Amino acid sequence: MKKFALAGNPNCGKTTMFNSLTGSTAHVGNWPGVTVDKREGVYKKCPEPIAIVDLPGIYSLSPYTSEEVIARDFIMDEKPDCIINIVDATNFERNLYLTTQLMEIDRPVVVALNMIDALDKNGEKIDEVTLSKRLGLLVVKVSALKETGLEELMNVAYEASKKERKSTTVLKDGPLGHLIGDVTIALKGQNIDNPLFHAIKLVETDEIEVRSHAKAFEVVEEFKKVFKDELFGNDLEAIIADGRYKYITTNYSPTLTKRRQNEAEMTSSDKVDRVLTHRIWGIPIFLVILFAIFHITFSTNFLFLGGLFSEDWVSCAGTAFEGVFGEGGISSPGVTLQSLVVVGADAVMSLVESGLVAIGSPDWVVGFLVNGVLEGLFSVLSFVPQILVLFLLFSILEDSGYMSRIAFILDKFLRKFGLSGRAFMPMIMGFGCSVPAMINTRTLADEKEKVATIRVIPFFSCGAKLPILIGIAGAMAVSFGIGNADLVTYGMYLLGIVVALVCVLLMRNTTLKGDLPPFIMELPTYRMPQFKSLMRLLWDKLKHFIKKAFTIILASTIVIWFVSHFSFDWQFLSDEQMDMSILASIGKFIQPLFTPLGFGSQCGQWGWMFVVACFMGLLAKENVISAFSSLAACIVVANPEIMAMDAIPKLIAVTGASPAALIAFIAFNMLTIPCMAAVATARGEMPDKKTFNFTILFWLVVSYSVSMMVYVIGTAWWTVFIFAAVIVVAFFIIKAFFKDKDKKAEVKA
Amino acid sequence: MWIEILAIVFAVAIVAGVVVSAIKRKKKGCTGCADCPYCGCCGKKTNKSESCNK
Repeated sequence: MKKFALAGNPNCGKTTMFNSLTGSTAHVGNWPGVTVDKREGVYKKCPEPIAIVDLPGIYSLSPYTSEEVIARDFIMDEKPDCIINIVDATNFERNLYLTTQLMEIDRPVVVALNMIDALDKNGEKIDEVTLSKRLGLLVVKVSALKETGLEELMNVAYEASKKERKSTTVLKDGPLGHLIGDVTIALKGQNIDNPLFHAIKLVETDEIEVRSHAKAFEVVEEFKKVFKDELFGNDLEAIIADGRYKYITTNYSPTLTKRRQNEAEMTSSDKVDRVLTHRIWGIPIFLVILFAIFHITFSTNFLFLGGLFSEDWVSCAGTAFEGVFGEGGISSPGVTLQSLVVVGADAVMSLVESGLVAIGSPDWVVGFLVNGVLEGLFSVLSFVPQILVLFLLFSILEDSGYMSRIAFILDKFLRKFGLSGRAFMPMIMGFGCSVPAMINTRTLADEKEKVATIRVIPFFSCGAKLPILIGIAGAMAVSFGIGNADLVTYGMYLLGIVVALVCVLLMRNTTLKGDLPPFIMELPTYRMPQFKSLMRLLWDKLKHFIKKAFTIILASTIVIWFVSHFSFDWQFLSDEQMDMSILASIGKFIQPLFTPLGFGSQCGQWGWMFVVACFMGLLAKENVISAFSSLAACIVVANPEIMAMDAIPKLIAVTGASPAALIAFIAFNMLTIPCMAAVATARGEMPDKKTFNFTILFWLVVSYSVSMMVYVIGTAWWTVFIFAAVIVVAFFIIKAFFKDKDKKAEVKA
Repeated sequence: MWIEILAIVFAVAIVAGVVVSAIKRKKKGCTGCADCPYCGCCGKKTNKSESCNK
């Protein structure tokens, strides 16, 4: 099957085009660096099926980050039958820099002028016929978003792939042109593929090329001894880059007819940026927007309108929808949708229970299916609406182009901790799921920055940890009458961010010391989020969540129920005898370890459930809440008031867990080893096994220490001063130790 | 009696199915990426991703 590659600058529309051509649902984000891995799909409308490969965005073929290495290696090694170079027509000149490099490869190249609809909207025009003549390449106007020109593009690319194409370069003139010619001849003599491309890379002193063609590089070194440019001296890379841009400005830019614009006139993006990226107000505005997102998702007193509406009207007292819309305040959209799901789930469970009893099922079957399986499953599924609302709001921010601005304004702040603004992207993705966030760290050029970022990504609460946050926060409100769910959730998210920053500061001053590369990023134009793209993302999230619920979580719930209803000698135990089960025995054995965290031995007879829930969270974080629901449903005590409670309030009542212990429990689960999928991804992205093993230890130590601090400070607030003093002293001791170590290493060198 | 057998079969089938598919994915090198609509080993056969180590 023929293979076509989509190559272009970050954020030029490659993935949008890929989705349109292949019918795929690859994630498109309005920030550079979303695609960090190549993807493959099939286009079926040509005379034969064509494999389309979506490459990560690159600014040039001189690799600076691992994503650029992926793109370059594919083009050079896999030799696609045609390279479709997607050029953002609204950023014409900058995008053509890559084009001038792609034309130096002996492969057919077709230029797709994308976002042509946006160009037309700006009142600008490109003469593609003249551009095509001057480039020596076929040019097709397209709009991947509106899906126009795509069939024509593919037909042109298909025809181009049937013919061979000889490479050309814009660097033909002057002494440099002669040097390139000489090196090309030398490489041709060695039968190297794409000699012109390799020759120019050698002249640029590209590291990979110098290593591969050391002999030919001698010609370049001789030249450098005698050549000196007025502006750049003998920095040939800079001279070549300057040469390319001069050629683009002289020969290609005139094909663009710009709208007569007053120099001082600002675009609408500029006007919005004046507010959102304000030097002083930028970060506070971001924090307010973030709080608004949590408020819309988790608040039980939406817009703080509590008391404004009649309580009877809002609470729907006495109806099946009692409490769904609020009690004493209006529930936010996220909470309302969740409550509706809970009403539905309760109805289903009652139906199943009465059905099973009606057909004469034994008690254990009813207990297994209703209290075990359904209770566990629905406890997790009930959080789906809130997770989707949260993802929707984050996606709107991302799609609009605002997230790139946040990375930009946070760069200065993050540098104080040893990270660049680039690291913000994977971190913010960690709020969705740690797995793609860790993969996204491939955009970071510095290996140490990458390792530090991967280690702290799990501290940014992913979607799977949301049920833990919401479940415990909600139960605290019921059991102790304290806290709003949105404030607790917001607070725990902030805790995760603070812990992440402190850990990065420590790592970047000790084991992962290193200089940070400059942060250069193209700010995309603001745009209205695309409804289709948002809905597609939500649908993918929903499908994934449901699949996870009916596989891993369901299987875990079944296993929990069985090991909590059988003893070591395989005797079946009733709910009242659960304390003697395999699970209870193992849990009680480990329980004392968690005493410093507040949910260990002090929680008495039933405290082992906290321990079991933590371990079940290693498979999937949603398992923590499903484990609680399955196990707590089987707690039998004499107090009818407690028996009538929901799972987590019931567990709180029988264990006597304090609010501080519950917050420590949330903190532990937020910061500890993430789920197995994330662990496997971290292993894949880490440079070696030693670094990975240390990362596991790091997660355990941080989660245990922070949770213990949270519990102790929550119990006796004045201990915060002792902990602060200990941390500061420890920090200085560690810094001094590593400074001394560096000095000794320098002297030795 | 039949309802008990059905419940046990259901439980064993679910657990066995999940364990077997996890082992198969591990053998193929799939990390079980949460956001992975591209990988053949996760079900969708149209696209392949380098992350799957295939």
